[in-house]
Amino acid sequence: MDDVLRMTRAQPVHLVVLALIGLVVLVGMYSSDRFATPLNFANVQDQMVALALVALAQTVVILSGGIDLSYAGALGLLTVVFASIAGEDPASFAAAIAVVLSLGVFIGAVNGGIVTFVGIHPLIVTLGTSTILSGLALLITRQPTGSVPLFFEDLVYGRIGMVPYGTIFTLVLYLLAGFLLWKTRLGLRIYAIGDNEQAASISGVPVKSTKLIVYALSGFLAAVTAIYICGRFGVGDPRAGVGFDLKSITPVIVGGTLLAGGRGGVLGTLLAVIVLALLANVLNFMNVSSFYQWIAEGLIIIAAVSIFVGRKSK
Amino acid sequence: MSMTALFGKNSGTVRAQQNRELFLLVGFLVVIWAVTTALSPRFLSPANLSDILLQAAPLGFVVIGQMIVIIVRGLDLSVASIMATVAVLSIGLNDNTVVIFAVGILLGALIGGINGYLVAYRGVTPFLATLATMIVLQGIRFAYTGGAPGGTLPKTFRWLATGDLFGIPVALILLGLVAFAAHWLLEYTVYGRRLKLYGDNPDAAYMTGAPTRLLVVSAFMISGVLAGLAGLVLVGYVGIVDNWTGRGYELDSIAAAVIGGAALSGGKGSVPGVLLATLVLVSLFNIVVILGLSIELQLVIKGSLILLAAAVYMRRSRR
Amino acid sequence: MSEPVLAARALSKSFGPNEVLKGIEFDVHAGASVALCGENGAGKSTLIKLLTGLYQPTSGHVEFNGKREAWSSPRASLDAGIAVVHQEFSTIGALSVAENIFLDAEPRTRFGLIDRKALVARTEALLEKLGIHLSARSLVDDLSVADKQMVEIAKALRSDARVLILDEPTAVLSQNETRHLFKIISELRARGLGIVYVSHRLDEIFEICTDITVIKDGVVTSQGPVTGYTHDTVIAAMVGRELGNLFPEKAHGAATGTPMLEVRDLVVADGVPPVSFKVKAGEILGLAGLVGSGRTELALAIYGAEAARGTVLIEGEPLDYRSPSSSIDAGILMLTESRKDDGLFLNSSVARNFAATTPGHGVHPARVAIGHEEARARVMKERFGVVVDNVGLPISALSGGNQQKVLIARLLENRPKVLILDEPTRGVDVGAKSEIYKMLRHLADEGMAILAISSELIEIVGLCDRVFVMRDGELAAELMSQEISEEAIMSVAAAETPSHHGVASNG
Repeated sequence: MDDVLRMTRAQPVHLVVLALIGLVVLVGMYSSDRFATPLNFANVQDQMVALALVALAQTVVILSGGIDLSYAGALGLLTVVFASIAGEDPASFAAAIAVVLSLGVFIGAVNGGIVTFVGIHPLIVTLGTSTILSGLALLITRQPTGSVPLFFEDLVYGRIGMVPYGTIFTLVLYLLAGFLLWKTRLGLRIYAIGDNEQAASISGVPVKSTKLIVYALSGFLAAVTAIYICGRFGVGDPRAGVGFDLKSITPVIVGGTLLAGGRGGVLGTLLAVIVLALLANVLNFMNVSSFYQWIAEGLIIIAAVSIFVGRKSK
Repeated sequence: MSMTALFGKNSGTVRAQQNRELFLLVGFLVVIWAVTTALSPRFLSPANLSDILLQAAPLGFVVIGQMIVIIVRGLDLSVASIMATVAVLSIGLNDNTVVIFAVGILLGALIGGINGYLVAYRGVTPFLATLATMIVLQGIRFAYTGGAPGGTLPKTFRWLATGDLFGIPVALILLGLVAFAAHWLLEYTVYGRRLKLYGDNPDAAYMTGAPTRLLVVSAFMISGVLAGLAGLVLVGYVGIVDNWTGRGYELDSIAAAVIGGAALSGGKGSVPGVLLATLVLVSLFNIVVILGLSIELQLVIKGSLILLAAAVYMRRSRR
Repeated sequence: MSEPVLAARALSKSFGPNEVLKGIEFDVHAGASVALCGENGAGKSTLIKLLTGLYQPTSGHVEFNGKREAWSSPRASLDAGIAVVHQEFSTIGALSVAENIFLDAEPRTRFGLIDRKALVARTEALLEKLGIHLSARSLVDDLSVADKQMVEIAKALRSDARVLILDEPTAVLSQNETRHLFKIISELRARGLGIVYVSHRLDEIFEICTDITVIKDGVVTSQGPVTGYTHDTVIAAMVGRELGNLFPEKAHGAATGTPMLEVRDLVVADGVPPVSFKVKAGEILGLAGLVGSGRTELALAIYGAEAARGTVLIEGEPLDYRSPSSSIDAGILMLTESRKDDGLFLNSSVARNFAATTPGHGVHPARVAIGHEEARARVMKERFGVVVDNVGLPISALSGGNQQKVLIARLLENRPKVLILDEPTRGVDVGAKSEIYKMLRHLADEGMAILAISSELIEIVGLCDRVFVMRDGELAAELMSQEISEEAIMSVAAAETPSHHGVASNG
């Protein structure tokens, strides 16, 4: 039991999030007949996948004590590159996947390299690279452009019952990430440097290479997200990433991962993504404008952070 | 500043080091201006220069506030949201210029105070506290306007942003006053000294009797007020009240503060430095236009400059 | 005699022009336990860092198992069999006991994944062997300080070490836990490990060490089997001068001044009895006791930096609102234990550090005139003999002794009535120490009341007119002028106490 709790990094706050999910679902069912339908649930999931993927990347970076704000620019550039190569046939599609995944890893490695070897605060580094990347994306094209093969769009839109393939894919990635954090040396190193970099270093943890890998992994997941987004929209949009830099942080924090690093896990992020997506959906059914959804999101962040602060100072 | 202080046996002093950073910025500004003038003489025309300065003005207000927050180890992601919210609400409420400014300043102080309260009294990381207020404010002003902001700009209001007094743009006079006050506050008052010492070591500041929580709250309040002012000036300059007024200023102001020598680790930053950095940024944007280059290059240049400046300061502080 | 397991041969280390260690000769034999003694700043930690490869020697070399070695990193020396328990903890709170002990050396399956079962099993076996009663699965966050220390020791011994270096291992341990540690050390020696034991506690050294090496100012001043030493000869070798030279003459007879500071029923933490005492004008009152006995907490509570219940009076006037700034206004100034943590502003100039409590001093309550701080700092520099070219230089450029002088000078700018000094000479060289002692005595003679905390018994004995010995947060004994001796203090401070938190008591 101990191990299960530690493996999943389950925290008491997750019960609160679960209760919130239940509450939101109840309110949803009460407010509209169309809420508890397979179609609607599938829609919620479709709207969730991209955020879930980016938030997963952000979780790993934050656990290691860093932060990655480069998604805003990176997603734009990666979707543009993907859609302009992917074309219509499987061969170009495969090439596009290979190119975009390597480009994502490269972007992440550059972020990680500057953070570790120049020693600049990750916030500044990824802010800088994000700006450069969005500039590059817009230099390539100002309008959404390119295309993806039909079979890929079908795949992204396909579902089993009320579960889109995208959800399954996302869940698999979350499981893999959880596995990585629990069962591999890299995972323990991530927690160690996020908790106390100096102590980790004294204990022989290779801090620099670990950080490099973390940012590269973040770039890789950004590339995966970009490919998914292309599948959803059929084109590459240089502005596809706008807002994702800060949006990716909310679920991580609400899910109980500390911004300072070392504490938390991917389960919390997943639960938080679900509650945020359901909340937006229900508020739509209740005809609450997205304006109030913003207010709600901001207040949730403050509430979440205040809970953890209270717990820490105990 | 004498030459001995720059290069003599006292070259290791904290002040000499900061002066060298300022000279580096001035040098950089001169070089890019010279190169651009050589490529396109139009750059140095009075009309273009005044354009650069007018564009720099709103950002200048925000950057000064952002720097003061960064000095106390904070970060203010809500400045752009404050700009728009203050503009939308205060112009929507009244059409008297004086009232608009009074309401704007109060509103900015209030929002900044909330940020500061969350950080200093609730222990919330500045990043998250201001991220949350940023989102909440966004919701409040959209809800208030129903998506389409109203209110008309009084004439005097436009004049404040685009008019001039004895040939000097009013917005610049305003910025000059604010900058002067901020510089005086930071360098020549006990309050300013406490701010910088707090940023250097918060625990030591507490033990030496500094009112640490009030320092943090006041820094965020200053940032809120200056962001509010910037929002009004920008609206006056553009001529339209918009829900997205100031979009991007949060990151631009952080960029300019960092390029101007403020360090996220706190305790460091100067008004001349960040104003020079603002000028560098705006000049570079202008140069891209003057030289007829693709406008997107601005982003690439801005990002590279952030990284370059941060790397330069990092190397210096390690020595 | 057999060949030593670990040895230093003519080992020297310089940082720039500073020669920190000079021609150190040092042997550790299998089954032996060598005490490394010396004052703070004598070069002990530098020697340990050279022995383990964290630093590279300027000249000379390290021998391990009779072979000349040049470690590339601490990892290399660890792999060879030199285990270190550092003074600062290197445990990771977010990980479990098992994950900490085998951090980056986790047993793995043939797919390269962490073998969780083996990890726990090996941890349990190791803990069993060492007689440490901890659950392998507990989070280190949830452990007491003493248990964390046990995790450190287990971690150091996870592989087959030949030498174990312990740097002040008992600083955070209770008496019972210390006994348990000694048992572990004896067993390790019996198994043929060589032990290097760094401690300030002479009693411990005489109890468990076989040999002594004393370092002073980077040179070995005395070396030999422990049987050839007494407390006094060790201290003499460490300090290298008679007490009389180091300390100024004390006030004669009991202090007769008026009470400056009075503490009435101050409750620092729940479950700790209230504390009451007075400090008179012209008196230096010492607070002795082991680390963790509550000295610093009491001082911080008097200063208002930590919450407490009870009354603090200055010249008979109770202070109502408690915070450092109100204490400063009332005339209580405090020098904190750790300069780097909450004393110095490392990126700021000497002048600004000096003027930090009183930036506008003497000119204007809210303004700072141009050059005013520098002018004041230059006067201070002359008066206190601070060695620095220019008061505009960052304070990080100064030596520990000079930094400490600036901090003490900073306190005096407020014309304090009461000075609280927590470890006033930590990390300060002997010369500066003597100057600081003289300064304190002079201040007391001028009518200041001084409360001094120190872990160095010599300092308490040599400096203080009256001493309270603390134990478990209480004032366990009061010693007056003639009664003050190292033995008297230690017998109270280290007495068996009913409260102990940690491993030995469960086992």
